[in-house]
Amino acid sequence: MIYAQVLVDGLIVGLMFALVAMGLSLIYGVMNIVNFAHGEFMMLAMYLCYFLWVGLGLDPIASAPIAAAVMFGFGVILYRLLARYLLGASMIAQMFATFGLLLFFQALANFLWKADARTIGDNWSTGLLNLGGLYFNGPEMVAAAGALVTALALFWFLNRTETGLCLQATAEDPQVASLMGINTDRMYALAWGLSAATIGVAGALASTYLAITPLVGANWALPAFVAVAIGGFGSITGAFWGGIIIGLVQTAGGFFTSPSYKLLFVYLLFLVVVLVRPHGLMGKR
Amino acid sequence: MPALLEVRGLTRRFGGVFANHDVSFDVAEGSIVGLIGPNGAGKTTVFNLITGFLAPDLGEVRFEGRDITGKRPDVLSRRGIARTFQILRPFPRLTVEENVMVGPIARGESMSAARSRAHRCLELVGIAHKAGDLARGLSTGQRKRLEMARAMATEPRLLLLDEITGGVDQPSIPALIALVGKLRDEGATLLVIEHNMRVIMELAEKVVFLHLGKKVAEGPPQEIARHPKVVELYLGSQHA
Amino acid sequence: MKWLPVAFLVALAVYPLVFTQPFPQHVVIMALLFAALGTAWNILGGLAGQVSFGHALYFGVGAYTTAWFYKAFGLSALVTWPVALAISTLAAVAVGLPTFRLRGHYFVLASVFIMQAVYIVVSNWGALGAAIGLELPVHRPTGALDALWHLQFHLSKLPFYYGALALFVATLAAFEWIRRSRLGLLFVALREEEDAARSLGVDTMRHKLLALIVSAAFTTLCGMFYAQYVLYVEPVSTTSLTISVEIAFIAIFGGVGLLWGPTLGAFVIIPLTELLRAYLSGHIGLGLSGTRGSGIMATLNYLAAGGGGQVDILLYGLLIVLIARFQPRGVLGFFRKLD
Repeated sequence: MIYAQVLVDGLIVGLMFALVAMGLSLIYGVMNIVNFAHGEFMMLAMYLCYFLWVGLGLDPIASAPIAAAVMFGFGVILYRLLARYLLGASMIAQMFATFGLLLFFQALANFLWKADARTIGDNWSTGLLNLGGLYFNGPEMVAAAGALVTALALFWFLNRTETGLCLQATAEDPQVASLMGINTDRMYALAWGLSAATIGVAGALASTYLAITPLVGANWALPAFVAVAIGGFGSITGAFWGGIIIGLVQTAGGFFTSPSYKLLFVYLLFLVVVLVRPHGLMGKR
Repeated sequence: MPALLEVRGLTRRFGGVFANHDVSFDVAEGSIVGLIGPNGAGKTTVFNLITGFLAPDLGEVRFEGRDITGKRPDVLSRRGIARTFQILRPFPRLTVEENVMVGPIARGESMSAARSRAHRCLELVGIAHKAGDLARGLSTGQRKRLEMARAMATEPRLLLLDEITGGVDQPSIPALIALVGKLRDEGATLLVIEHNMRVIMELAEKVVFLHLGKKVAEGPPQEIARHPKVVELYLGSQHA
Repeated sequence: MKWLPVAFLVALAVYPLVFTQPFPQHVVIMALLFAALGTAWNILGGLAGQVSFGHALYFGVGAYTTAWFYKAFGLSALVTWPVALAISTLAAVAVGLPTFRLRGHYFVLASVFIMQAVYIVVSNWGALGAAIGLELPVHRPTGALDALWHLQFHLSKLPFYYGALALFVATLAAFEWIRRSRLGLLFVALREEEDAARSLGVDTMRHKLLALIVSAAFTTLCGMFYAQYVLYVEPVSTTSLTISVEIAFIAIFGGVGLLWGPTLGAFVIIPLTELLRAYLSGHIGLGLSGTRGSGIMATLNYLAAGGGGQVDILLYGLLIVLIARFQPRGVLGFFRKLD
């Protein structure tokens, strides 16, 4: 019974990781850039939801679409101001640029809002559900469900809409895509917008149960990098399953040893996967 | 006496596609063998399989009578197999001279010994005057010569040349042909991937024709040029 | 221009005799330390082209080995350096073997993940002081020789200063010697075109490991110095991602692959951060202990405790972004057409 609980908890946190990882993989797939500042979008979204809750009494679940829209715009702006210039740059330059962004946003949040943790109190998802002996924490369950819905929406967008297919074409081969008439610049901006929006939704959902600090995004994003690496860079599906796997491994590892070691298992998993399959489980490069 | 290079049943798949399927041929010592075929025929894959950059799914490669299947490229280089790359890869921020010195130094030669060997090879290919320049400043034709010099500096017994005339203008080709002949005179056995049939006709004693990963024909160049399949698939609108 | 490095070294040698206050000496000690760290990183990252964001691991090895042995047995780095270097080499091989088969982003991230894994272990390991870390007992020397044996000098910073200078010069010398040697040529070849190098007979795995082992060794020496100087090691200031990135950034800021690049980076960034921190904290003068960490890490710690509002991290982040955006080849790239 206890194992079923671990499984459930692992899946719930795994779905959140999956959503975060997919956004990361999207940018990499399209632009070949690892965005170290990915977690900061989540952090900013969480603060946004917090202030909406404090100021307007908006439930974070209801704020999720707002967060998505705001972060989408933010992602696009970041692309126009910085990311588009990183396209031809060396890998080192790209990594530093996004790492610099990470430092910048963390420091900005600390400067504006200090380091004290803030939490959003009770909202409509609060509560504990008991289904046949398995405990489901309300906010986390709703968050996981929301993550799943958003992930499916992203899949649907990428595979069933014309714009989504154009995005995939750009990821496949930007030169051919532009010869086919696709505006690759717009696709890159779209990728950044979508990436920020999806992790923004994750942030909104997570704000119902996570403490909000300037460092919260970075803590969440690092396992997502492992998820993307395991799933194979450039594969959205891989990122999704990578996230699930990471969630399960993290929860199980933390359960059987101690919570402070849970990330250790995630990193060890990475080493194992990469030793066996250097390009990840479903990677294309 | 076994041939210098024996390729037996080489097979390699990528996903669902057979890049090479049951490819077998010999390369006799001191000869020049041409490897031809349309784009995507699997010629470079054969090179990669021979030189250890890829491992075959099936089949084996024997060099000097010994099995070398799947051995590492650097090990094979020290055994005497050298190759050039179709997409030229000079070391851009090393000088031309340093580029050629890498091979000898990897084999344990001192800086000065490597330098003199490098100069000999650069003179052989005709770009000794560029020795002190950075490799990235070279023209395409000069880069091709650099590739050859680099490979020659490792004192190979077997040299694999990949599309040495690719991207080179017509007037420069005879000089390249002469150079390849010189390499053979220096003692190398050559396996040459070529699109230019004129080069093949002038140099090769034997030609292996690949199509869609399979060996379709093998024989002297004149014979291959008349082979119906070859004419149909490859020569088509080209002038020989 | 050839005389510039010589003049610089002479200036460094004379500096503490002119500026005799502890704080100015401390700033340059830290700059020398990070210049050495950056140069050591450069052996792997600049010459061999393998970008590691996990070098704090080796720094931590040096720091923790020194701290643990001193606390347990009273033996300073003077005695325990072989142990630290042995562990460092083992760690380098353990990290390199699985990760050097990876290319591009996978390799860099692998270096991050491995280091993070070590960070978790270190910050939970009781024997190493877990999150709080280890404090090296302060020893009041009974004389010059005793001070040397314990590597604790309380009357003056000069011994530490010249120790740092020696470490700095040694690392520079190692870098330059390698660069001009046959080994250096092979490193650059495998950096420029790994497959071509392999096809010419270069055993790239072996050479990458060699570069890492040498780079790690000098990084570990720096870690040992750090422990003896600050007398306090803990995970965040020694074995964290931020330290790793700071080292890499300092190396690249000045110009990766160039001998003086990391030095330029260190002598710009470290004084900047130390001065900023001093200004924000309102007082100048840092004792031997009580300084949690150095450079960015110390500033982070200080500011995490609520001071200054993290404005300098803000600026640091902005600086990194701007450099990466406008001059990815580093500041020295401005002065050289060809690197």
